[in-house]
Amino acid sequence: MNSIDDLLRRSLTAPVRDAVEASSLARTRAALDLVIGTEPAPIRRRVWRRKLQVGVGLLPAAAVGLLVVVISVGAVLFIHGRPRTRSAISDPPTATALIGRLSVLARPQTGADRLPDRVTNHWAQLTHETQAGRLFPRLTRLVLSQGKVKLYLAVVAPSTDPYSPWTPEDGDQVTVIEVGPTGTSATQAIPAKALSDADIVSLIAPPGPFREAVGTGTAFALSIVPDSVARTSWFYSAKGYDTRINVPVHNNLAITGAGSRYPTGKVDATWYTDSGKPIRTNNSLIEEAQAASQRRRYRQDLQIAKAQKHSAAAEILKAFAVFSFDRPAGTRLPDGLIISKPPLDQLPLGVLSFAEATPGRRFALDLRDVRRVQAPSGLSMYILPGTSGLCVAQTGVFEIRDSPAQAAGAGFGCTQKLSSALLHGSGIISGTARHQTDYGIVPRAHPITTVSLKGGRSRTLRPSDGVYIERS
Amino acid sequence: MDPRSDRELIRGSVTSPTLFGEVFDRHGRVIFRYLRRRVGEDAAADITSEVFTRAFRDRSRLSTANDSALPWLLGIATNLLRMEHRTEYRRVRAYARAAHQTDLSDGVNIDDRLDAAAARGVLLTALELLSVRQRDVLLLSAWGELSPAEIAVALSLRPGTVRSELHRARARVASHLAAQAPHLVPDQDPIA
Repeated sequence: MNSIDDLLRRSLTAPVRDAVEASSLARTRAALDLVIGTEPAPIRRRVWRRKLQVGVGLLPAAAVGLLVVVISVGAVLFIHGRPRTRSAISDPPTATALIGRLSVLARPQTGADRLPDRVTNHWAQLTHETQAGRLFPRLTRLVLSQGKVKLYLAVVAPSTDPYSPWTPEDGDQVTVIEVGPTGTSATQAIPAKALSDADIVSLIAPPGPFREAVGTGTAFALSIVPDSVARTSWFYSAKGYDTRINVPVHNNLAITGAGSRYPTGKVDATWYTDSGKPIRTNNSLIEEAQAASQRRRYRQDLQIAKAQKHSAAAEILKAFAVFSFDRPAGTRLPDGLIISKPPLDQLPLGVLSFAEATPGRRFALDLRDVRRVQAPSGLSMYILPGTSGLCVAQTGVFEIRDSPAQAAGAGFGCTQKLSSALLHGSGIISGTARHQTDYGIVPRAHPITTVSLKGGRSRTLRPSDGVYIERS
Repeated sequence: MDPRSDRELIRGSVTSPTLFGEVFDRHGRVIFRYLRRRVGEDAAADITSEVFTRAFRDRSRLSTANDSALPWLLGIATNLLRMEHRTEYRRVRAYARAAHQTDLSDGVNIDDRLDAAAARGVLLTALELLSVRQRDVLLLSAWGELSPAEIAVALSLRPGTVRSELHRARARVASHLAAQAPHLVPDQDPIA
């Protein structure tokens, strides 16, 4: 070993955190397994979770005058629900598994522990957000009362929501419910087995944008912890700064008020006993569950896509140059874009989910004729032709704003009418406060388009082969 | 463990894609650690995923004579890193901020670790002085533990070019060390 190399190796390094490394590698392997299209070994059943700090604000591409329906990632997830048939449940863990680990649930319920009727009676309205099942009114306990805000720990039946990372087989779940003067909200419910994952940290605030509640005493970051935990330590990045905080535990809840540097991404947490000894945890449970959930949805969506009978309108396929590229491996254009025709089993989950009919979309999409456009920058989009219109989709695993939750999905813009599609094409704008990216497609007959840039500027494009990915 | 070489596995994976998983099992950790040193844990996980996805998709075009796929994979990783230069820059700055902090808990020779910690800031500045190619070559050698011939495969360069770039990079780092922190200059010939 050369001595300079050796010095570099010794000096510029950091301790390898085995658990983090193992978790990252397992996720990566699972992502690869998805690409390969195989069934991974059980222990590696995880799916890639990108930590994109991308606020996915998808705006109508008004500048190009298109009829564009832009649906946010959250909306995609929301409308995606469909009935699932499940195998018979064999003795899933019941509430007793939770009570055994959360002593606050074991104490007798008092009047103060009961949720107000207005919450109990309208619980179903909350369950879309919390992916929680039926509430057990006797298994609610008041765990924090601060000002006009009350927090309850509550046991709920497992959800059948396909987007829940947990399955009914995981058993009953526990959630934290915040009841305040302006409404009720709840954290994503978790089953007993997830009480070994220290990294599950939730944000809770009254209904509405979380950031607006920050600093008002009504917004909290919290984690439900089992009885042996006396203190937790959280490490996370917020606003570009690494932050480490000690979070005290009270009533099986590690909780802290959310200040300006609240955790918006993954929290790396450690639990400690009374004596200060770290507690061994398995901090990949939620990721494994999310991965399994995504695999289930992927398999189901692939099946639906394979069974589809309809085809894209011939006019659409003819009107756009992009559909003349048929190589699965892709063709590189002079401007660096690569256009490929991915087979069904290589489409990401976010695109596969378009196989289903969705409210508001009046035409079906033909996923066998999808094209992928990759820019040299690494950005990419999918063009989905339909029976009467077409869609442009940008896929990824997104962080959901004001939530530590993440989900695979796609932001998309669709031009629904055949005449509009043939005249204008379609497009979407994706961006954050600092960057904006225009994705779009224009027809051969009208190959020029104008995209609006940040700051009120605009740019006229004549994209080669009718597709563009413009970042500004 | 599959007795086949990486090359055989990758060729076989063209018709039996599942074979490619073994390539990840063999080299995923090395790639992740290399990337982790360059851009930090979060970005490393991201890029590792991308490395293997690209490698899988390009597997039919693999034309290396090497039995090991590691140089090829590290080459993809290095190319992807160029798109992540901002992340790497932030990482370098983070190292610089931490340069005065020393973790002595590892139990290895404390003098060595103090030297290493003291060297951080100077080394980081030295790395920033290198061209992108020199830095890639040097770090593939130091952190990727590739030989010059393997680096040549990774970066699609001639072996002679790699040797000269490696020589220049080490000389530049050594010269910067000599000027800024002479006590840290390694005893042995830094260029060897």
